[in-house]
Amino acid sequence: MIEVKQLGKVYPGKVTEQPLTDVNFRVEEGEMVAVMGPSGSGKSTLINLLATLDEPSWGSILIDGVDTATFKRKEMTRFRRETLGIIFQEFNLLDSLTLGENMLVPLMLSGKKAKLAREEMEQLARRLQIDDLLDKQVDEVSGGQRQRTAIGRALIHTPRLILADEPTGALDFQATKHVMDVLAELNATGMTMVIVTHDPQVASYCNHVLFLKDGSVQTELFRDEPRRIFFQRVIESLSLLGGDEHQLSAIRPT
Amino acid sequence: MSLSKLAFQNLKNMRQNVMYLGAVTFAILIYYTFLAIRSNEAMLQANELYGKLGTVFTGASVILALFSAIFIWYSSDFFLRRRKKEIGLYALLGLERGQIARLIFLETMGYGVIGLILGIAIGTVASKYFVQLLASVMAMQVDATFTISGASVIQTIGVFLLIFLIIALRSARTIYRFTLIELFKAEQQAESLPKVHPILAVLSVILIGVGYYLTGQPLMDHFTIVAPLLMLCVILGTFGTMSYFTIFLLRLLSNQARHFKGTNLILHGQLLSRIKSNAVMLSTITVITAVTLTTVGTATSIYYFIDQTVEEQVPYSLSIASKQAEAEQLIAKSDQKIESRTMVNVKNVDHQMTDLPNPLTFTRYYATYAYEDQPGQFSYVNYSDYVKLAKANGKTVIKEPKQGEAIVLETFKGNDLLKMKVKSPVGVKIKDVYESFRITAATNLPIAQLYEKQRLAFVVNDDAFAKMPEKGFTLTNYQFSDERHDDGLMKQLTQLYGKQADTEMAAYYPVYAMTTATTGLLAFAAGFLGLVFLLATGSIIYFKMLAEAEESKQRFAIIQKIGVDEKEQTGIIRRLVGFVFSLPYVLGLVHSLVAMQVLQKLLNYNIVRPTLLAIICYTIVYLIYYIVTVRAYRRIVT
Repeated sequence: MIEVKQLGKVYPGKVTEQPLTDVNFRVEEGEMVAVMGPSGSGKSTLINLLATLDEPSWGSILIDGVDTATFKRKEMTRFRRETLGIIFQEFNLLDSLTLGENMLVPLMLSGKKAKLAREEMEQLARRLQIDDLLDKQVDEVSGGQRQRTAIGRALIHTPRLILADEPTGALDFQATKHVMDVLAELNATGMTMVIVTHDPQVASYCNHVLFLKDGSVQTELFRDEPRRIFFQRVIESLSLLGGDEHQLSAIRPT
Repeated sequence: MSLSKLAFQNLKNMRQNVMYLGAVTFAILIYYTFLAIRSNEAMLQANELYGKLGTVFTGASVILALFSAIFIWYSSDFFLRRRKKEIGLYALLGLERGQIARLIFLETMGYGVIGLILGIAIGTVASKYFVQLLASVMAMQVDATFTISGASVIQTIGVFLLIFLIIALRSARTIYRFTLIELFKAEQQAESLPKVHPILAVLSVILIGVGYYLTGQPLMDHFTIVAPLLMLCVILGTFGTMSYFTIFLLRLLSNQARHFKGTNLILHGQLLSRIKSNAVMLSTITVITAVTLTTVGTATSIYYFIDQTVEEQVPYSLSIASKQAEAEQLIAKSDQKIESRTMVNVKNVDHQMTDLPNPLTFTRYYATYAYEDQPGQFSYVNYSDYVKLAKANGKTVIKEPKQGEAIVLETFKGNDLLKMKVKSPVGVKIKDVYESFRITAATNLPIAQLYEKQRLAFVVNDDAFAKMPEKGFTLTNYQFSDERHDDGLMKQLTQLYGKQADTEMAAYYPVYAMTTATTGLLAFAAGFLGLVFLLATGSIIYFKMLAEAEESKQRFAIIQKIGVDEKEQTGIIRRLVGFVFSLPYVLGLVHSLVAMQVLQKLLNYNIVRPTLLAIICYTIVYLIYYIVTVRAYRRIVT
């Protein structure tokens, strides 16, 4: 579904930043991919590029075989509205709207009939277990509930591709588990996902992990074993990449 | 680095604060210019009247000072909000609150001083052109020069230093009141969603309705009670409407299908989350807009109708009651030519006021002046003379009154009450010998401008006129070739009549010159204030919207991320800003139209054209502000 070739991104300035130099990978239809790496490795830049929020300096991103650089402005908007659903770390919910209204926004933007949209929204809300919170304001609910709302907003137009930038970054352990269960369940229905994370727990839910360092993909892992064992492999790879041992705190040294 | 040095560094960082400085300079510029115009030497020398009308200016300058204070208050609020984070940083770096407060105080004062220098400098130039403009509306010849008026400079500095002191104190108080975390999170504080009060919402609209209804009632009877009550109703109603009705309306809207269409959802959310903090500003601006439009509309209307007013008051170039030969000699020597001459026989009759039916209102308005200083004197003209006069003036001739009937030579413009009383079949009883007259018709045919002195005159049939025992006299009315010009003839004529000048002669020119000067000055003052109010209200909305944009940055970042493209975002901003601009504009306009309709009744002119002119000017400036605000808003959030 996604093919990234020799992708690079440079931010010109007084001090030139080059978060991505040469990134290559493929994401198949229906895969759940985690992108890991130390801070500053260009994870978020990669997501922004995939979401066409930013333009690559060189290289190309092919979505279903079409280069995103050839997208016209209208196609870009359509791609973002129809194919893509984005989940952010800080939820990015509009605090001026209720949870229900927040979820409705993408449907309204694509011009769907209000009644139909409401029905779809309520159905989705039941699946995410936030159906009794729909008339609440954003600041009246917990972080996990907010993130589930944000996921609801990303999913409401049944996109084929979900991009998530640290979706659990602001959540506690319990909420993380809940959110990831929801995402894994959705992936099981055939939705493709790319999740940026630094949490090996989150990565262990995925069936494909990319390790990003110094602007390119250092290692790739594919999961063919139970989640617990895959989790160990993710941690091993992380420690091999170095500089991230502190993330092993979950394991008591023996 | 010392505090003053830091303040100075911040001052030098102009680009950020150029708008604030602009606002401050503008306020000072306007105030100084206004003072400079008032104390302009050339104007004072050219027209002694100008000095006497100083009270108009004094009143206006007090309003201006108050207004400047409100204006600077709002712009500094924006300025401070924008810098909350920076202030929080200072606190984090270990500056004490007192030190930060002093820093802000120094900066505010710094801007004040720069603004004063710039404002006075530009004001000196501007006042010259304003003086020229004023001279031309007052129909005066004045050579305006660039002058700096010391007294005005001192007054400006005094007033504004006081304003800045208040503002600086307020800023310091803000700093003391907020905790560090609040300063940092200044931009993230979401307002709690406003509650809906349907009863209050409906009540406020009803209040405005009551106010409007009261304007339709005859005001004269209880003016002192009705007028303040009316104002109170409308102002309270306006504040209520902006605070409650708008929320009510928006909430009502959120149950409609339209609410969910496209970007409406986002727009309504944004509007609703802001409406509470905007309500007071919006209602203040509505009231100011209404007052401004009414004042400017009135002033333009009066100025527009100067010619007509004077023509009605003084229909002839000159009217005299005696010394005809001498007067005509003088006229012949001047550069005026007599174009027409009409004469009319008049009898003045003393009435026992108590004998008059309905005498009260009559006498209060019309016995103000009489020939021999006797109250209750009316003038009578016979029908033949009336026909002559009417024909000469191109008026329709009313048919002859029968025995016991009379035509009143007055239309009671703008005085409906009196008009009704006179028109109703009440009689005018003449002494005890004669029967009373029933008034059958009214016409605006002044028999001479001696009657601008407001004595009622009646036409009776020739028989009745002949029977009156009083001695008649001849009034002669002249029409000159160029009555708006005077080469000293008026002075000579006044000398000719000496002490009797007040009663024996009346001329067009002095009234014309006086009226043009006063109404010109009034129109100028109203126009000037109107312009200032307009610019200031526009700027207040501008600053308020920009402060809102600064605080909504994050929301717009989210909106962009979830797939709203630039065009749609611009659409949201346009409607957002449009809503805030149009609300006070439309309501203010309606208020002033209602007020103007009362004015129309009083003046009895068709004031549509001058009013429309004022409204169009207002609308154009508002539109420009709207466009500029939308652009600035977009720049901030993208």
